[in-house]
Amino acid sequence: MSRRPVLTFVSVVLAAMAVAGWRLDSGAGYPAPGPAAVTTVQTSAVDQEWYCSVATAVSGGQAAGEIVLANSGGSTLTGTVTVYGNQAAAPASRAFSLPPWSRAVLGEQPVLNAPFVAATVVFHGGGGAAEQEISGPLGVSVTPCASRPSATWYFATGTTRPGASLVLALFNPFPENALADLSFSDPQGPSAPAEFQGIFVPSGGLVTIDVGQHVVQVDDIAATVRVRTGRLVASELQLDAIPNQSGLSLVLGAPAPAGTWFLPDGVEATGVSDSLHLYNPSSTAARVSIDLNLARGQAAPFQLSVAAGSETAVDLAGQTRIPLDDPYDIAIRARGGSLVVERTVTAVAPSTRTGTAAMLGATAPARTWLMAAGGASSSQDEWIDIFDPGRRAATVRVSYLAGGSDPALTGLRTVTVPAGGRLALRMGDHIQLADLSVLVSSSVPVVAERDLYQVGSIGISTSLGEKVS
Amino acid sequence: MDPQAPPVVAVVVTADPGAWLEDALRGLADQDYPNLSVLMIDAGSTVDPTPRVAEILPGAYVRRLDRPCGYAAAANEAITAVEGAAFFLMCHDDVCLDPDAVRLLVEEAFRSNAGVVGPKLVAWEDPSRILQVGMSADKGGIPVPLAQPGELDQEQHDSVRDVFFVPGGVTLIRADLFRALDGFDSEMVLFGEDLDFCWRAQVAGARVLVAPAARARHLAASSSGMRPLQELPGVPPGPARQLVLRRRHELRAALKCYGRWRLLRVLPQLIAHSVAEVVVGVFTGHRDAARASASAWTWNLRRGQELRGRRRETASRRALPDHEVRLLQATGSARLAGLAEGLFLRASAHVPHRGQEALSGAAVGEDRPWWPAAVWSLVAVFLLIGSRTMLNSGPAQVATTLGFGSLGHLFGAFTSSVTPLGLGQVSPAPPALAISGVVSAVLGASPGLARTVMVVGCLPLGALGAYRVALPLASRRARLVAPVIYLALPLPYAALTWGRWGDLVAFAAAPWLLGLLARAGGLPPYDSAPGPAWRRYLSLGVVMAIAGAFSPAIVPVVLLVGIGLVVGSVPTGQAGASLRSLGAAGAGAVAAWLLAFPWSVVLVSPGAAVEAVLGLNPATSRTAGVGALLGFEPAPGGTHWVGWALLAGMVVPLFFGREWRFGWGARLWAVGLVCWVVAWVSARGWLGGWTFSPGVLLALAGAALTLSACIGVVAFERDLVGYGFGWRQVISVLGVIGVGLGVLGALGHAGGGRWGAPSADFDQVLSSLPGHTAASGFDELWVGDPRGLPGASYELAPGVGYAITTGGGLPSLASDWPPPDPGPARAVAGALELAESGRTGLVGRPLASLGIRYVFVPTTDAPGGPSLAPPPLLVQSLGDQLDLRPVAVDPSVLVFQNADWHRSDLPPRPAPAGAERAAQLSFETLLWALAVLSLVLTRRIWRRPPGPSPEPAEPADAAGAEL
Repeated sequence: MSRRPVLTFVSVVLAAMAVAGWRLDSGAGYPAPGPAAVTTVQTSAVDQEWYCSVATAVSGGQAAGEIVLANSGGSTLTGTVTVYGNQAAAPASRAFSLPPWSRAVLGEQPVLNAPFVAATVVFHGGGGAAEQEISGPLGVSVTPCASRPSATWYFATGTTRPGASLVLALFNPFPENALADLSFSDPQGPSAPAEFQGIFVPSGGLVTIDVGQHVVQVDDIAATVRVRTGRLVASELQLDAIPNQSGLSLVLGAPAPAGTWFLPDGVEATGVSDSLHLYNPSSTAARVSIDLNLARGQAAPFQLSVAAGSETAVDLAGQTRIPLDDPYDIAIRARGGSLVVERTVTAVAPSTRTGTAAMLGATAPARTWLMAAGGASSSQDEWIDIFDPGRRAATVRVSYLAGGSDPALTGLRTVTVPAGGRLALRMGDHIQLADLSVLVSSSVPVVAERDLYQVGSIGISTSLGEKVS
Repeated sequence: MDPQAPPVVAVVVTADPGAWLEDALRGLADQDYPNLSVLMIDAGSTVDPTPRVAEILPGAYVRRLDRPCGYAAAANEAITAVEGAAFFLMCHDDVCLDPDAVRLLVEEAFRSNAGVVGPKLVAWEDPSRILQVGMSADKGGIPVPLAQPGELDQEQHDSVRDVFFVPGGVTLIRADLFRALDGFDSEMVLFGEDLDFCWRAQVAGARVLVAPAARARHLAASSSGMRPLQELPGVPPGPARQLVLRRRHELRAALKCYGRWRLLRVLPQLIAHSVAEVVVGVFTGHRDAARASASAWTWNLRRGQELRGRRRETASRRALPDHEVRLLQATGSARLAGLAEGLFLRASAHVPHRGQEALSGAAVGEDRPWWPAAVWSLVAVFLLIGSRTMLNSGPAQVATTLGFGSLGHLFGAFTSSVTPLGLGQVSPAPPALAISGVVSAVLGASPGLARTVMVVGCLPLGALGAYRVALPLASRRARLVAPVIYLALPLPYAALTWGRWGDLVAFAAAPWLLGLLARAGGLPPYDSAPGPAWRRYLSLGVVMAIAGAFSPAIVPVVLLVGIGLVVGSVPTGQAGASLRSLGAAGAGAVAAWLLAFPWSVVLVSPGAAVEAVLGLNPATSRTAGVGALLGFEPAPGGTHWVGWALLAGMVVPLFFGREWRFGWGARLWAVGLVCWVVAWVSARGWLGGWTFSPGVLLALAGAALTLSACIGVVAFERDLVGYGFGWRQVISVLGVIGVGLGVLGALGHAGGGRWGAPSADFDQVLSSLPGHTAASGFDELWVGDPRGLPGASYELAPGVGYAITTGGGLPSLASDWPPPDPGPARAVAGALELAESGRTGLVGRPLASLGIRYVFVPTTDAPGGPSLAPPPLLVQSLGDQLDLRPVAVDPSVLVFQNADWHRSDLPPRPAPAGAERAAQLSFETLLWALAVLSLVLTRRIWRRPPGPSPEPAEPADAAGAEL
C-alpha cells in the first residue's frame, strides 16, 4: 500500500475545505428587514392598520382633523376607525365600509371630542389607505398615516419663535404602556432636557407636548423621540401665526435616518421661500451633496457637512445658482453619517399662494403611489409631482378612485417622466373633483408628491403619497 | 533415601495432562532432597497416565480415582493414602521444580517453623519472568499479586517473607497441619482452594511463607486455557466458568474464615462491591463478570448450613484474631480497583493469562500495572468535578434536554396515540419515551434522577466506548489514551452548553457503533464475531435503534461512516472487506427502522417535515464554519482549538503506521473527512430537508479519529522503532504535544461543575407571566433560532423555527421528537408569514384562534447561555403587531403577550385512537422482544469456545471479541 496517495488525498480535502470555508463561511445570516417604510399600502394584506397623526377635535380648533380613507382595491373594504383623545375620555370607534376604488372622509370631532386626538384605522383586507388631514384658520395640511410604529422618530425642523406653536404628539394605541425620551438639536447644539426624559404614554393614550413651553424661541429645532419601552407613533404639528408667515403643517416623523433622500418639487419664486433642513442624528458627521435638477438646466450641487447630532438648514431662496421660476427636484446624498431631510415652504404675498408647509423627503422610490386626500376644485388646486431618480425614463399612468373603478385621468393614461427628471401635473387641468384620490403607477420606481394650494385663502400642503406594494 | 531427612511426599494431582507432564515429572525426579516420595493422583484422566509416570519416576505411586473430581478433593486423598509423612508437597502437574526446590522449602519450613511454604513461580517458557512470589488478598478474598506477573526476575523478590497465601502450583504443607485442617475445602472443585487453606492455616496460627530461593516453572495450563476445564460436578458450564468459580470460592473463603464481628463489618462491604461489579458489568456489556459476582452469593447462600458448619470448625481452631491475620491482607479493595480496568479486561478471570500476555511481548506498555487505575481514576475525578453541580441540581432544561415529567407522564405519552405537541395530533410516540421511562423505573421511579444520569452519563459511556473500541489494538497505552482523547473533544461540552441531547447521545454511541462496524468488516485487528452475519447486523441495529430513538440522524450517519470505511479501504485494496461494514450499516439501519416502528414509518411518509425530527439548521451565518468543525465544535466559537491540537495526534498513523495500522488510519481518516464534509454541506443548507446535526456527524468523526490516535500510539510503539531518526520522530513528538495541549485545554470544561451548561432555564425567568407555569389551558409559541427553542421545531423560514407548547411551563421530553407533519400548527406558520410580510398588523387574532397566549423569541439558548441573534425581520414584524404586547421579562427572551387571547374558538384536539395504538404497542413490544431474545440466544450458541488464542501474539484480541 502506498502512503503518498493517502496523505495527498487527506491534505487536498482538508485544504479544499479550508478554502471553501474561508470563502463561504461568512455567508448570509438572517435577512435584514428592508428600509423602515412606515407609509405603505399592502394590497395583499388580510388586514392593515394605520396610525393617524394628531389633530384637534374641539370646536374652534386650530387643526380640525379628518381621516381620509381610500380603497385602492377591487373589493369592498370594511374596517374601523378608533379615535383616541389626549384626555381621559375613552376611545371611540366607527365602523366603515368602502366600495371598490373609492374614498371616504371621517371627521374626528364627531367621533370624539378632545383638545387633541389621534386615530387608528383598521382595514379588514388589503389596499386600504388612510391619511390625516387638518385644517383651520392657518390653512390646511395633509400627511400620510403610519402603517407601523417605530422605536425612534425624527423630525428635522420645527420652530418655537414667537407666534409659533410646535406640538409633538406621542400616540400609543398599543396594548402596552410606553416610555419615551425626547432630545433636540438647535443652533446651540444638542440637548436632552430632563423634563422630556421618561415621558409616560399609557396604552391607548395620546400625549401632546408643547415644545415651546420648554424650548423657548428657537428658530429651527430638530427633535428625536426614542421609545424606551413600548411602541409609539410620533408626529409634529406646527402652527405658525407669525405676521407674513402664517400657516400650519403636520408631519409624521421619520422612523430612521437614511443616506439618500428625494424631493420631487421645489421652486424659487417671488414670495416663496424654500428651505431644506438636514438633521444628522447619527454619531458621525455626514458629508452631504445636494443635487438640484432644474427643469431648464443644471445647478451646481451644494456640498456641505452636517455635524453629528446637529441640524443644518439650507435656504434655497436667494441662491444665485437657482433661477427664479425654474422648478427643480432634489436628490440629497449623505456619506459618513445619515440624515433626516425635511423641506419647508413659506409663501407670502406677492405670491398667489400663501401659507407654510413642511414635508419629509422620500428615502426610496416606488412603482405605485396613492394620494388619498386632495381635490381639484375652485377652492383648491392640487398638483402631483413625479420624480424619476433612476436611469430609465418612467412611463406613468395617473388614475383616480372613481368608485368602482380607477380610470386614468384625461390625458394622463400614459405620460413619460425623463430619467433623472420630474413631471408636475396640475390635477385641475384633467379633472374637476373636490374629493380626489389619485393613483400614480409607473413602469419604474419613482417618487410622487402631492401639493395642495388653497385658492383665495391661506393654506399650502406638501406631502408624499403612500407607497403601494 | 536418607532416613534422617523428614519424609516428604509429593502429591501430584493430574487430569488429562498435556505434553508438559514429562517435564514436571523430571523436575521431581531430579530433586536433591534425600527423602522424597511421589504420589500421583489421577483425578479422572481419560487416558491412564501410569506408563508416562513409570517411565520417568518408576518409584512413584499412582492412584487413579474412580470418578473425576476437583483438585482439592483429589489432593485430600493424601490424608488417607499417606502415612508417616512430615510434609506434603502439593503439586500441580504443570509445574517443573528446580532440583533444589524441595530441599530449600523443607529447610525454610524448619528454619521458620512454618506450616505452609511456597516457592517462587516463574514462567514456563522464560524462567527469567516472575509469575508469583506469594500472594496477598484483599478483605474480600480477591487475590493481589505481590510481584507483577511478567516482571523480570532480578532477585528483587528473593527474601523470605510471610505472605497471606501461596498459590497452589507448588505448596509444601506440614502434614499434621494439613490433616488438622481437613485438607483443602473439597467444595472448591477448582480455583481458590489455595487461598482458603492458607487463610485457615493463618487463623489456626500457622505461618505461611514464601521461600523464593526455591523456584518452580509453572505453566498454568488450566488458567490459561491450554487445558480445558473438566466437566465436573459443581463446575458451571460456559466460558466464564473460571471467573464464576473464582468468585464463589473467594466469597466462600471470606464467609468461612472471618470471625463473627469482623464478618459483620466486612459483609456490607462485600455486598456493596458485588453490587458495583454487577451494575458496572451490566452497563458495560460484561455480563459474565456481573453474573459471576451475583452467582457467587446465590451459590454460597444455597450452602448456608454447610457453610455455618465450616465456620464453626474454623472458629474452633482459631489461634489468631482476625486483626492479626488481616495484617497480611492487602488494604483497600482489589475488586473496585479492578472495576476500573481489570473487570473490563476480565482480568480476574485471566490473571495468569495476562502474565503471559506480558511475557509474549505483544502488549507493549504493560509494565506499569498502576497505569489503568491511575488513568481511570483521573478520568473519574475529571468527570465528577466537571459534573458536580449538575449531579447535585440536575441539568437545566435547555433546548432538547427537557424534563421528563413524571413516570406516568412518560409512559402515558408513549402509549397515547395523541401527541400533545403542536396543536395535538394523532401520531406514534417516539421510542425514546419508553426507553426513558424504563430507565426511570429502574432508577427507582425517579425521572429526575434518570434524566441526570442519562444526560451526564453520556460522557462516561462515550469514554468507555472509546476504551472498548481500542481494546483489540493490543496496547495498554492505546487503550488508556482512547477515553482521554475522546473526552478531550469539545463536542460533548458544546452539546451540554447548547442543550443538544441528541449530540450527547451520538457522542456516547459513536465509539460503540464504530466498533460494531469494524467487527462487521473483520479487518485485523478486528476479528469477526462468531455466529451468523444477521446477528451482527441485529446487534448493530439494536444499538442504532436505541441511539436513533434519541438522535434519529445517527442512523443515516452510520451509513455515511460505512461509506467512509469503504473509501478509506481503497488505497489498501481492502474495500471488499469494508463493504461488509457498509452492508452491516445498511442492514443495521433496516433493523433500527423496524425496531422504531411505527414511529419510523411516519418519518419517511410523504409530506413529513423530516427536518423537524432530524433538527433544523440555524441561519447559515450562525452555523459552525470549517474551522469549528475541524475542531469538533458543532457551533461557532467555543474551544475548537482543542480539537485542532488533538488532530496532531490523530494524524500520526498516516505518517508512519505500517500494515493494519496504516490501513485503519486511512479508513478512519476517510470517515472523518466524510463526516466533516457532510456536516459543512448540511450546515450550509445544501442538503434540503436532510439536515444533519453537525454534532452527530462530529461524534462519529471524533470517535473515528480518536481511534486513529490510538492506532498512532500502537504505531509509535511498534513501527517507529523500525525507522531511522528523522521527520517521523518529529511528527510523533508533535502528536504528543498536540494531544497534551488538547487534553489540558479540555480540563477547563470541568471548572464550573456544569460543563459550561446554563444553570437556569426559561421557566425560571418566565414564571412571572400569568399562567405560564400553571397548566392554564393555553398554548405558547416559540419562534426564532431553532437552537434556542425548547425541543424540536418546525421550519418557518431558513434558519427560523417555531414550536408550540402547551401552557404550564417548558414542555417535556416528548417535544424533542414532534410529529414530522406539523398538521394544524401550519396555521401558525401562515400567520407568522403574514406578519413578516407586513400583510397583517393583527397577528394576535389568528394566533388567539389557535389558543396561543404568548409568543417567545429567545435571544439566548437559556438564561445565561450562549447568545442567539433573533431574526430581525421576525422581531420587527412582531413588534409591529397592534394586538401583541411586548413584555419585558429577561434579556434572554423577547416576550409578546397576545392581547386577543381567548379560548372560545379553539379547534378541537384529535381524539385518542386507543385501539390502533394498542395494536402498535403490541407490535413494538414483540419486535423488541424478538430482537433481544435473538441476540441473547445466539450469544449462547455461537459464543467463541474457550481455548488458547489463535494468535497469542495479540492476546487482547480476545477482549476485543467482546465488542
